[in-house]
Amino acid sequence: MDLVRHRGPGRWALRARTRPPVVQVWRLHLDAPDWDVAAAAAVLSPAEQERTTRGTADVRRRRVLLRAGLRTVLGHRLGLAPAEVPLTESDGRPHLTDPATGLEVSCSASGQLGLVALCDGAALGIDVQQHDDVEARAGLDEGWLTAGERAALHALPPARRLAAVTRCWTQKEAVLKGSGVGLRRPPVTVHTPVTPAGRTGEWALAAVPVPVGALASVAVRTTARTPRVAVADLSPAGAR
Amino acid sequence: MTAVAAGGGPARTTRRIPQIADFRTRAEATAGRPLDGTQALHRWSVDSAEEFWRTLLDWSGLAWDGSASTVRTSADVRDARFFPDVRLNYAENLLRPLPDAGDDAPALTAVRRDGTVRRHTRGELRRAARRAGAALLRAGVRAGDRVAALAPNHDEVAVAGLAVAGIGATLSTATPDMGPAALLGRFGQVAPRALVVDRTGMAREGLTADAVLAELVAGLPSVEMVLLLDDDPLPAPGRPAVARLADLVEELPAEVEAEWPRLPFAHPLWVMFSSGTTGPPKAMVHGAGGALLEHVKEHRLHGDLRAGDTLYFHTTTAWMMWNWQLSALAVGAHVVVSEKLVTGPETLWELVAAHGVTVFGTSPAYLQLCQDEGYRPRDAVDLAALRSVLSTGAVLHDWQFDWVADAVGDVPLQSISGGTDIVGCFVLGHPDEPVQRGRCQSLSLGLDVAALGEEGRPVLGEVGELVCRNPFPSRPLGFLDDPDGARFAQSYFTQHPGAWTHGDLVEIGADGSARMRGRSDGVLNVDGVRIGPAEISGVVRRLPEVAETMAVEQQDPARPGSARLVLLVVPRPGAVVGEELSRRIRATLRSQASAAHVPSVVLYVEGLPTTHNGKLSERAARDALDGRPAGNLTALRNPETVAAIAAAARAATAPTAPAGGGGDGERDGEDDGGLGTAVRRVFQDVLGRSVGAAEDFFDAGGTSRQSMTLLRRLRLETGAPLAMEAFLADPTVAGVARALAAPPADRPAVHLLRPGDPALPPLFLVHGAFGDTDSFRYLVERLDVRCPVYGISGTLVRPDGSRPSVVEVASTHVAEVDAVWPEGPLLVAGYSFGGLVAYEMARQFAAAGREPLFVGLLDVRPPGTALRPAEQRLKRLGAVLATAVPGLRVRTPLQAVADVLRRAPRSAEAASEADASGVYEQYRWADYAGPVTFFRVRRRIPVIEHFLSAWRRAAPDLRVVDTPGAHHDMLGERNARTLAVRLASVLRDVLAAG
Repeated sequence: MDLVRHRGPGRWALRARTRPPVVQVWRLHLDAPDWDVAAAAAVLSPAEQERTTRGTADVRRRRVLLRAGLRTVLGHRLGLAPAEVPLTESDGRPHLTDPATGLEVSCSASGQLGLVALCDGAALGIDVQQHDDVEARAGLDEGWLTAGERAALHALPPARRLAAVTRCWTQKEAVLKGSGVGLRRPPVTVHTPVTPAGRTGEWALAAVPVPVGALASVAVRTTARTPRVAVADLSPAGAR
Repeated sequence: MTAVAAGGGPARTTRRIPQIADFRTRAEATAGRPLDGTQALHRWSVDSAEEFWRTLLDWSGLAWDGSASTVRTSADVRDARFFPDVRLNYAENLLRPLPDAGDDAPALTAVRRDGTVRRHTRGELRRAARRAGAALLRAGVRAGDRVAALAPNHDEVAVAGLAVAGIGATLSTATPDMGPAALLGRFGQVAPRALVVDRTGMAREGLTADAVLAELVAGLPSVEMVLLLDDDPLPAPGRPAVARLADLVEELPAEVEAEWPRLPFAHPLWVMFSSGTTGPPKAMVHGAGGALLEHVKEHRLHGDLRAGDTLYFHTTTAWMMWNWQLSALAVGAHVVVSEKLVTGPETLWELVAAHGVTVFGTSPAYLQLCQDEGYRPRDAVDLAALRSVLSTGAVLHDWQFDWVADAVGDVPLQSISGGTDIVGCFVLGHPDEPVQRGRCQSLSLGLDVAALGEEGRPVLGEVGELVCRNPFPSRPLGFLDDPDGARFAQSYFTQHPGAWTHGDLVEIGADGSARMRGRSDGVLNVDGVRIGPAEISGVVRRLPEVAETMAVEQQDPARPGSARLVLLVVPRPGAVVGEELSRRIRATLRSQASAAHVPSVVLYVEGLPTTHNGKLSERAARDALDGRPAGNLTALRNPETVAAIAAAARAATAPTAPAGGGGDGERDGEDDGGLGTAVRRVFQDVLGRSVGAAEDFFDAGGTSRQSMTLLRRLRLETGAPLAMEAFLADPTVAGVARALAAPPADRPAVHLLRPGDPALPPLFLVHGAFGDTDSFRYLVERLDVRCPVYGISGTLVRPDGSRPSVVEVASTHVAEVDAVWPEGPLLVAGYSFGGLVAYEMARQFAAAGREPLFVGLLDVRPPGTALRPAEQRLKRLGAVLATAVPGLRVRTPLQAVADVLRRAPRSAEAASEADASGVYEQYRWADYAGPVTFFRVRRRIPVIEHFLSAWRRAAPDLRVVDTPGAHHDMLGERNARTLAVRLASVLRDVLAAG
């Protein structure tokens, strides 16, 4: 319980408020040469292995490493071997089979950067996107930004506008992934604040620090203001 | 001649009355009626061409004798000769003392390669030319002989050229750096008696200048003497004799000058060369009178050039603009020539500033260089004297007008265009007409210039073949080596009988202004769509990585008999080329031009085939792509580019070619030539690599972010919306093609676009030509009214492929609306095709006793049946449905409907297209007495004017509201803002009254 000062003159109230949830994010640099993809694939479930046999070499590598990374992180947390972590999938998105753990997970990859996110007790979605000026400029007219977002983007200094478009996308994706619907719900229905952190509906948004060239966001379903994001790198040798 | 340092020029003249005003007065006296306005004067100059040319000759004050009573020998452009009884001398007319340009007036200023400057007054220049003429005569050159001159653009070659013309010999010029093969290709036909040479720049790899000269002379057996302009040591004596022209002049007694005889009007003055890439260059002979009269006309009437002006036109001696600028001496202007190389954006502007140039001529390429380099002439140099900028040689793009206005200043930018073939212009500037971005201001006086459409009839506001339909004095006398005139006739007169067909594409507006669209022999016809290559290069050139580009049609190796679009791109140094850039090029073209402009293949090359005149040769590139042997490589400045293009094309189509290795041709595979191809191309664009028909988008590396781009592009390419749900169900090329080909899902035809106060009458927005209501998105977002807004979707193609009529579509929707909103007042509106449906719905509602409170027509063209015969003709004239007017061209209703049909196999397309236009055109509308509001776009094709008269006949209670944009983008984000405000304002009035 926190003492919360409401907007307005001298109004104090005691209000139930959860502590800001902590999102633990591991970054995987997929282009690191010493990843052992075969060993990583060995920890996947048969269904996961089937899925990761499809796609181009890059896509397979990304899927294998990312899922193995998720299993490594969860195994560490749950005291299980990576292969033993009980994961199920819906719409390609993984979650723990046993909801009693209270652990929510989300993964994302773009280019050579993969992210694995874990949150205790709150639904979450994470998304990373390599920024491309041309793609972002095109995005202004692809129908997934709301009129309000477009107006806010146009009000930004030109130098910051395109990166903000990409950030909007990561926030929308994060919310849609957290909601479990993905793109089945049109991204235009998520109105983001066009700032690195903020709220949309019941989701709190925060930026995830990632190497220059990419932007990443998490969305956490919480009444807290900003989720806390703790970031670590997951290298082939283990978490650092 | 005195050597002086570069200094300031004359001060800018104060407000001037154009000379054309004085000419108009004279013309009106001749015509016996007022000739107000540019169009009236041009009309008269064409309708009364003989009066025009006689009046011009008289008014110009040129020096001639004989009789001008016969203006032309026939009314046929093929054989008419002008002024058969007039005799004159070109050099005399250029250098005689003029009332306001006497012998002391500046005539010629030469900027030498080393930066030194030499100035000549008119008197000095005349004496130099007469003395040089005397030297030529003494060396054995006679009137009627031909003389070839090979030199950079300096004063000495100008003096030599005037000397040659003065004594009645015929001159042919070129630059020393062209190489022996190209030079022999030209001068071999000329068979010159004398060769005037400046050896500067003549040396080539492994060959001294003298060795090149020896090779050249060896190939020109007609040459009896070589006259050098440079001061380098004389080559070893031999045959033919070699001497310095300056030495020959020195040897003359002090008082000796050549006589300048007046010769027939058609006396051969110049031999010039076209940039043909098949066969040898066409060696065309121009007559002295025709060239002189045309140039005086263009300089005085169109350019308003006069004594006191200083003209600098950046050219070489190998280009007709050299001859054109030299003739400016005839109007008393001061001409600046320069042999300095362009080393950066500042080169020419500094020259303009240093010499007080008032009229500066350059090329789109140079202006683009300045723009690309971020150079701002007005900030860098003093341009106080400059009063106009001319540009020619290629299409001048819209944005270059903006750049000149911004970075140069408030001077007219005149885009002028003609050709060596007429040693003049068909379209050019005009002192009375405003400059419009991308356009030439007027048609050349006395020339009946027109754009002919596909059927050979003149078109306005539409791209057509540039022709001149009447005789003109500067028509060449003929070709050399063409004794029976067959090649001459073949070159200009076979395509459109009775007219000179120039080989350019032009769009002429109703106001007489024109927009050049590139060469017609480079016209691309891909899948039945005619594309001017300049439309593509204009867009692609804006990408920072692209230095030069050329769009070429190639016979599709995978689809015999059909063509595909290949884009050759010369990257800028340091640019990263590959699939990412290819993708961006395609994306840019798709968004800024159209899907039809998107190339199938992008090839990166180091250079584009360019003729010695500096023009790109599409034909050479096309031959290379199609694997045909090259035509005439010596016509090219850079023949090595042809082999490089062929190699790049081979690499791109070789099945083992690695991705990105020189190109990124489409992968072979099953290809229905229609929807599947379009879908595959979009997949490849978005993913940056080729995909198989059954390859999953996400397995192929596609991200969810990219899926947004993919859906958007699929909509743009195929014109059909694809639901994300349908895409996710089968995210493959085959799956998407199937989904797009399937009939639209059963979604409610009437759906809420935005909720509102249910007590108010709802607004129903009728679908566009694709059947969906997505195009109203921006409008609805911004529409500040409290009533609910519904969209009505429809199916425009029945499962059996037939198409319901407008009346049938409307009655279906009336029933659907009745089901949702069974009673009470309502509002309907529609855009384009949907507007016609909305109108018919209103009629049907009214007949059922439920007249809508509001009927909104968002720029709806009446169907053909509603037009009176005169209006029908007007419509055909403007060719509203097939127009290529930029900004007005994108989806007209017919095109849009036709695009939907791309789902059908291509073979059936032609037949279906007729049906589709039938739906719109065959709608027989009936009168409607209720109120109708017509939202009229501001940008529209001249002469069409929406046929509001036709609308008024049917719906007399018509109110017109103007709204920004053009037909195709009035609902776009930018213009929908204002449209929403205007529509809401009308709706609020209606709701308050109702």
